[in-house]
Amino acid sequence: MPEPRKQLKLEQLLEFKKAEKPDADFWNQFQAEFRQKQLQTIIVKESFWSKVSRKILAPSSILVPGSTAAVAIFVLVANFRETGSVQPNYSELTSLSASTIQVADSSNVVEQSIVAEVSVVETVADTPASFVMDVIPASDLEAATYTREFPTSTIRSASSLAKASYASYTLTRDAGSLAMTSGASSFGF
Amino acid sequence: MSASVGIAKSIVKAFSGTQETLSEKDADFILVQRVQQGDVAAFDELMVKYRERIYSVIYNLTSNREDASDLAQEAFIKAFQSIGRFQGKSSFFTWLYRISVNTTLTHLKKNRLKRFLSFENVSEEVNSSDTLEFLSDKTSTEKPVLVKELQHKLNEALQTLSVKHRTVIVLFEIDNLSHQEIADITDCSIGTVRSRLHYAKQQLQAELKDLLD
Repeated sequence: MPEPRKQLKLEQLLEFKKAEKPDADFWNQFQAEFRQKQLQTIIVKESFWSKVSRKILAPSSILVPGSTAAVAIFVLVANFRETGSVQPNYSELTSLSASTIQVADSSNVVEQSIVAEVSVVETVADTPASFVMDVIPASDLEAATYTREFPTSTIRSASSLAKASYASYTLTRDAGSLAMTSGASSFGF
Repeated sequence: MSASVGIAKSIVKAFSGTQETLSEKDADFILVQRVQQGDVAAFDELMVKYRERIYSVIYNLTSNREDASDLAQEAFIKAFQSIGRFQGKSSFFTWLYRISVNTTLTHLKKNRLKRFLSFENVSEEVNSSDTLEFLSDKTSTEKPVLVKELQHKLNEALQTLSVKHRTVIVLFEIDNLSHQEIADITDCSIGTVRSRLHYAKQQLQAELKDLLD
């Protein structure tokens, strides 16, 4: 008796489709690509209006530091020129009464008796500025004259570029008070 | 006989599907809630769980492995972007399948004039299958050659079906989903699913009659 002829069913054939599978490497790449796309979706997208406003403001964000730098250069140049003709105005010594200040030293603090402070008024970039330039120690009072030369860079801001400007003044004892005359200024630019 | 086998298979699928989805649905929903609370890593768990099935469905609908990879990623990205709106009315699995199928159908509609097939690797296990034994005896063809031929014929036969019919047969015969699940995913009635399935099988049988006779 002949064996009944075998026949395939459609379902059996379609089972074959289940064997079509990607390998492990594919999934690694799939995961990496998905992660990248996922991160892009997490990053908040910039709205249209914020993009527009950013584009409008972008030139000013370049201009602001640019113009600041230009002004700073101008001020520095102006100050540099000004320092060449600086004539410090020394303030009058108002009092000879002794007072005590603490002179700071790098290693210790010394208490020093002083009789006067010499302050200087300078105009830096059209702005009057007053600095305490010197103190006259009590021990120096014995001297008839008191002359000091000082670098103005110590009392001026570094940006004024008065790097090696020197001025001197002379104090003269006159009865019970001190007279002050300004000496020649020397400039060492 | 074959009709009753089909109905029995469908009942078994529906029954086992319900049992599975009860526990799986809860587990998935816990992960979904974690994603909704900002835990991106929880989405990775969902993706790893379903990526092979999603890829398989898309690959069997497109018969193009590169498109399938891109579309599967696109589907997962869409799911990730809209997971905040997922309320758990359906299972995550059904929701994800719906996104994947819709993404693929949109792609196929857009590119209906451009059809390139690129096939996936066939795993070794197929060499020992009864189907391949039977076919190699019948045609006296070497197994590796037969595998390539079979892969070609099956994919081409699937591509002759309309997108709707292809979707139903892929989800039922290859992905083993129940009629109800397919109806939920494709947003149509169970009756429509059955009729599409019946028509799709008839057409495929006609396309593959050389192998089936």
